Amino acid sequence: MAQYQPDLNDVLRTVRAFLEDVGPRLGEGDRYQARVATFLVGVAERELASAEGADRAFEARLAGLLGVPGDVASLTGSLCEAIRSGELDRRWDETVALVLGDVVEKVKIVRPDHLATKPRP
Amino acid sequence: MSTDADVDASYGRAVRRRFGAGARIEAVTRPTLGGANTTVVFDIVHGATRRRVVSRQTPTLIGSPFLNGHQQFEVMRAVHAQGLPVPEPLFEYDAVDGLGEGFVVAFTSGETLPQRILRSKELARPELAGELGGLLAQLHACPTEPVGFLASVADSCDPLAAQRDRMDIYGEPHPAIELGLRWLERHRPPGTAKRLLHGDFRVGNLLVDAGGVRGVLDWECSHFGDVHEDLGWFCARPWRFSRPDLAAGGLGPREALLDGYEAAGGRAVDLARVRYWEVFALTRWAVLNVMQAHGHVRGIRRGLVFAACGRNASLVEYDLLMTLTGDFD
Repeated sequence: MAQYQPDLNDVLRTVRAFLEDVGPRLGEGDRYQARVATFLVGVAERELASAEGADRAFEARLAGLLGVPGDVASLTGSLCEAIRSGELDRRWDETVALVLGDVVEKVKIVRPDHLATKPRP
Repeated sequence: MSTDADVDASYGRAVRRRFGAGARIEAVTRPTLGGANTTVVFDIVHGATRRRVVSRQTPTLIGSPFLNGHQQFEVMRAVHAQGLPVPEPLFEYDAVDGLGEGFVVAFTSGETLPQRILRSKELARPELAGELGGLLAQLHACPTEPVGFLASVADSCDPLAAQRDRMDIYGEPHPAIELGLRWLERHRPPGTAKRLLHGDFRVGNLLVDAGGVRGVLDWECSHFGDVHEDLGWFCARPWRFSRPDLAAGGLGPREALLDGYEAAGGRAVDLARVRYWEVFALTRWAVLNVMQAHGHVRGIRRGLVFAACGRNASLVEYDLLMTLTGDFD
């Protein structure tokens, strides 16, 4: 359902601005909590703005590695089992590259500054 | 729900039971530290004596990898008796106190915020990394008999299996953690004599002043194992903060820690083993973040910090995989 303005991005930005404003005036413990809250709202903003295409691309790469179709959730479970059993030991570099690619997409949402200056493709 | 005043009355009763009817508590403060434990600082006053103490209530959570309050108290008593800088253990709460599990130790002053320590020239002296190595050597030389119960802790039996079993409890699939565990399994070094380990030895768990380390805190992860596990944990990337190039906790190169360790009588250190346990540290730190998120979403104990831990697991996984590929040192 379409909502009137402000849109969700704006709502989150407004909440974050409030937290950033009030945080420094709080006592030490609450100030820390306010910083964490600001961080979490920032995560939500970035997640909302991110393209959903990344999930689809990961799904396709996962299905390719494992040789079976499925959705991201079931394929991720299968991937974990295959890594643990040693089934993917012989395709180690390929597996690490695939998982790292997915983790990089997560980090871009959670804390993009955390990525090394030259992230691997 | 009991108010702070009710709880303060319980502390007062607990103190009178041990220090006499004339004893009382004063100057109660409640530092916000996050985590599942409740920490309160107060003075115990009896007669002409006044002593500042720290009370820790340590609820045992289901699926928790941590030692319970009684076990932590026993470990602190054992290492304090060996002359290590640990806040002096004073007494444990019992059923009559009605405060759950927990204990009281002497208050020790010093800085504990790692970023503040690392930014301060006065605290992060060039000698500090070597002194910390010496401290670990001293800890690893402690007799294990007084804390023999640690032998049955999951991390003492098989640290890799302990992490795997926890992941199975939390139920969220993490391919990056599985890669870490698989790599560790395939590169497992031959076994060594198991010594008493701190299990979470890093700058954030130390009380530091200009004279050096005044207290080693947070013994809830203590167990028996390869001494390189503590050394590798200290060098793991997340504890280097703004200085990832300085592997020894952002204080200096690995060698600074390891030279101090050997100079203080610690056994000869194998650098390759330290690096192995750094990979373990990244894997275990990711598992611990998943644990905090699990506790949050299941409603066991909710909170902003626990919620953030769940998302932060991806940052640790990034460091882990970049270390496995050789991109990170």
